[in-house]
Amino acid sequence: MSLLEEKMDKELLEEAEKIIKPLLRDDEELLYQAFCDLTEDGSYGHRWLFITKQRVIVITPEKGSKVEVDVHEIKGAAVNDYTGNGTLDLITTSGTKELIRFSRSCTDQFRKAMQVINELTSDRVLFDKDAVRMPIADERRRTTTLMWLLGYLKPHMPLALLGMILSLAVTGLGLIPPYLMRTLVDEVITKRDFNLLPILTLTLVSIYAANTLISVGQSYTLSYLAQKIVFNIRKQVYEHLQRLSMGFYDRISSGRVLSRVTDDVGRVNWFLVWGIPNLIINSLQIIGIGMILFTLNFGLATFALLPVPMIVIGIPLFRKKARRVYHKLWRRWADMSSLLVDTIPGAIVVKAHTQEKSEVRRLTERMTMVVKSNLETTRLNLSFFPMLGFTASVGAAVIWYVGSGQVLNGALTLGTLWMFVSYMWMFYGPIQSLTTLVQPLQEALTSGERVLEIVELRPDIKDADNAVSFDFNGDIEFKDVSFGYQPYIPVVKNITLSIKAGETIGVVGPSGGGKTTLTKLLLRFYDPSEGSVSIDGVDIRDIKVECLRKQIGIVQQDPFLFYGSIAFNIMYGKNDSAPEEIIAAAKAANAHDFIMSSYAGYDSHVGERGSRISGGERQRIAIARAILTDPKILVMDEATSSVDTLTERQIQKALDNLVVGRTTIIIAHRLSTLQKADRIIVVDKGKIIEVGSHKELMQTGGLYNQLYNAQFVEAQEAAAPLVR
Amino acid sequence: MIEPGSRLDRVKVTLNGVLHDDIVPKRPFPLSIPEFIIFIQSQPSDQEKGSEVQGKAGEEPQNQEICMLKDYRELDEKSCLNLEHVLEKIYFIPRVLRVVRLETSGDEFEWEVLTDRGSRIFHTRSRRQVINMGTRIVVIDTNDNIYNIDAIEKLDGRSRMLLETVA
Repeated sequence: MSLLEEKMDKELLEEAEKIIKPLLRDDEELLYQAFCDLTEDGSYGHRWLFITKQRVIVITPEKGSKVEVDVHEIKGAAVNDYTGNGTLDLITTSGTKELIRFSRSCTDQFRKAMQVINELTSDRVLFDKDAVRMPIADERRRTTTLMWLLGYLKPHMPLALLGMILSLAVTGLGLIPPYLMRTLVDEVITKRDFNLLPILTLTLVSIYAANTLISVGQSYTLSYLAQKIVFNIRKQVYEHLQRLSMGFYDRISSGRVLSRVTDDVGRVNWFLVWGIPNLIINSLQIIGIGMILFTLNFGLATFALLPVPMIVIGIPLFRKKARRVYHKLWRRWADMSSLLVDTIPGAIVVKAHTQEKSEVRRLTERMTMVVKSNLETTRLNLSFFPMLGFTASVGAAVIWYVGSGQVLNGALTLGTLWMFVSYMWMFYGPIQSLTTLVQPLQEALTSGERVLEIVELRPDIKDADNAVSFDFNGDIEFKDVSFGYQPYIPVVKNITLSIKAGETIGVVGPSGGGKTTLTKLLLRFYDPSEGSVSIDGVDIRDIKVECLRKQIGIVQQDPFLFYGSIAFNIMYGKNDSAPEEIIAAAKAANAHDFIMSSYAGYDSHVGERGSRISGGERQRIAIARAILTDPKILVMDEATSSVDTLTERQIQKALDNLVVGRTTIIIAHRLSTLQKADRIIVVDKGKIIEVGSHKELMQTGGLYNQLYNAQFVEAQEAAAPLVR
Repeated sequence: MIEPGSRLDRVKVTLNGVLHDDIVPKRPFPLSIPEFIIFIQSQPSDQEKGSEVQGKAGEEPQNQEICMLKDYRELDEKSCLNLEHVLEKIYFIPRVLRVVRLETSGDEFEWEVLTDRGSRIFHTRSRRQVINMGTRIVVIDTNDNIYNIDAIEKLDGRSRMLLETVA
């Protein structure tokens, strides 16, 4: 939630309190309040919904009018999702009526309101009445990007100070030559005193030499410092990414995340290597040279200040516009990266569907948007910087005109004018640099904001303060579990299921029924919105996440292999595995023989995402990976659905080894793979509708029976031509 | 004890007093742990068996492993030599002594190297075919031939400089 949204949140709560307080009776307690932004006829406007144990009230603040319904008249509530808006309906004793209308910005609040009303009317008190604030998915600390970046300097302060001292030395030395030039013009050339010439020349050369050496030292020191800082930032960002929960990865595409870790941190690198040092040096030069100019000739110096008002007023205005424009550019750049990250690894799908031209068109569209944004930033820069440069040139011309007059009437020596003009250009130099720095600084700060956005996200899933670690036995219990990827749109509803240690459970059902969601809840990729998941009687929210996930092995339908050797992938969950352990796991996974027949055995590379090996081989490597960690609980999510029957048989043999002595949950579409399951659960529309053994469920004649018969008939029809 | 076998790529292994003939020594980790050996009882080839195909359809033939050796260098000297003689046949991994030339041609690198087996020119397609293993570099060319660059610090300066451009 942005700062603006948090501020509104406070203001809204204050407004709500002002409205409802006078209306509440003595014994009446406010349970929930929600704010909506639409009127009944579809115009934008304010409405407040208040729910107490006795009433549901809708108030129109502008008119002071209210609609009130007694809770005893209400049987329930429902939310209707439409395009761009929704309604909250009350189901009353006299029928269903639309209570309030809201835009999609308020959907979450009114889904919660629906839940509150339904629980009120069914006497189930499960909502958290303290949570009357609008929900915030990820907490964020308030900080500024610049302060955050500068915070990285703290551990390297001695190096930063050294860099600063060297920068000051470079600046100071740079101011000496014009003074020597004045002496050269006034004393040597004008007064023809050639004795001074060798000394002056030698001094000049020495100063340039010293300046060169110190500049080298300064550049290296600052580069070294910046590299150390950027290393820390990248490491921190990547470490933080590893801690964030699956909800984050579901919300933000991997392309965008990569863009922040690589491109954005790279721009922050520029800021720290060149941006800050140049900012400091140029600022020091402006101050130092400014003082010299005014000391030399106050009148002339005022002309040198001609471009300053433009800078002082113009830069803040420019920054404001630039921030918006650069944010847009980076978003469009990330969109383009995101598309490339999708389509290049997915080349096989693109080609199989002959969508090459379509993909080129899609990328062209996104590149066009990037080009448009780049041109917009160029236009913005051109609207400011050339004018600034012109103003500086006009200032210089005026100084030559006025100064020459003063030389001609003896008020000023030629040498002094020469020195003044030299200092004047030295003065304009840093001003120009500062103004040209604004654009890349802006880019870098924008990038810094984007990186900070990630760093400031708090993971949804983290260890409780008193979280425990222990060796699992393998008893699992889902107790009244409900969950939805979007708030208040449940994917699984009131699931209650007990699995004994060592039991093999098959989970079947139509696609989208919630089967995989159950496994994600078990692995605590998400927390249930209601109910609890326990292992050996301990709520998994009270178990350390590392302990939990290390003892649950998962084999997915499409296993992900990292770029690396087969051995690397097998030992991914247990880095300290001995070679013989890796071999034993591969043997149990029925993978050892094909691995040994590859060109470099276990050292063979699998290619990008395992592209160099077949699907069945990838699957068996994934099974070996699961076996090696020796998990107490095993989840197999359609582990054989993407391979042919013969390969499936090989994998099945490996799986038979794997399930021995482990609590196993097998999600499968091919019901034939569940023959050995102790029990089968049928899940449909987020609920468990049947439980039993294969035999029992076939006798029941329910959905399982239908699914099984459908697959059996399909198989028979496919075999029929061979029988004839 | 390990003795030469009936074929140049086989050995005889005496294990716990029992002699096993026709054994194929294999390296499961030929690049990272070359000293780890698995000894496999070789299966007769389809030609040797005739037209009969062993095993069920769709199943990979099961090799019978006799034993595993974590580090064959702990064997007696004669056994080591016999084993290495056979391993050299099975695992052709030349040692690079010098990198003569390394050039880019399109998206490929063309290497010219001097190895312990003679000079060689080969191609690699990406930096990922040059695997840095710390003190060793393993290069896999576009035909899956493997080249070992061990003791990098013992290479000449030019070879090291060229390697730094890809590894």
